[in-house]
Amino acid sequence: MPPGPMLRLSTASRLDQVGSVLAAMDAALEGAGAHDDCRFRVGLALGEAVANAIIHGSRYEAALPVDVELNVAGGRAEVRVSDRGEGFDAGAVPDPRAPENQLKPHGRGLLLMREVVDDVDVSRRRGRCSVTIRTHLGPTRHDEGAQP
Amino acid sequence: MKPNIRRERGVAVIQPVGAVTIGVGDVALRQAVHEVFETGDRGIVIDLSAVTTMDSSGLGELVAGYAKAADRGVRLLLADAPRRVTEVLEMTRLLDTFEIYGTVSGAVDSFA
Repeated sequence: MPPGPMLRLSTASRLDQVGSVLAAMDAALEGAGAHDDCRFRVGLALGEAVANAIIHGSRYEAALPVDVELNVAGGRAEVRVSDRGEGFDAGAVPDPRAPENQLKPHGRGLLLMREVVDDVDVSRRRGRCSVTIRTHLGPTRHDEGAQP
Repeated sequence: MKPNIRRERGVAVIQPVGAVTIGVGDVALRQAVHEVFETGDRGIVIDLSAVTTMDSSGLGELVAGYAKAADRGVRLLLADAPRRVTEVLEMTRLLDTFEIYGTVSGAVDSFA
């Protein structure tokens, strides 16, 4: 039987819970021997993903849970954040780097996620929207950058 | 945590401390910037030296403050950004949007 996730938790859809989710994830990654850079990358991307799940997925409805799962294998971490929302088309999110968007206060979360980790995947099935973040456990490489 | 606010030669220096992320420090930064607007300082420097992490919400507060300051004819500068804050500014292509100084004193000097 394959081993289960290193971390699995469910949190209420409240922004004041994001910090405790990040702390649990950081402890799990530290236990997995992840480099400090990896913990930073995952922390940044996970915070964005959980906040998006609470704001856009659950629409601040605290009773709706947001589920977080961490799997580590082959020197890589895979983090999945799931909510009960309608999901979204990642390709339709405006580029915050465009000149007309540069002074808008919102809309940088998905870009930051894509920039900071190796891979971000958005999917929807069985009534759940999931954002999956993948990155290696090592230090940040200089050639890392945005996905196309 | 509420940012520290001090004055240097007529310039307001706002120093957020710790995380400037959603629900942790973002609203406090917004309030500090608004507080400084009320006092009519000739310029604003955001001293980022004590920031440990900044997410899109924190960046959003910097951008909103910058835009509101510009509307009021006030310069809002960034100074002494740690590596990881510089990285998120770079990732979001905001390095060219802001005036960024290596030191707070250099930023304050620029108002002379």
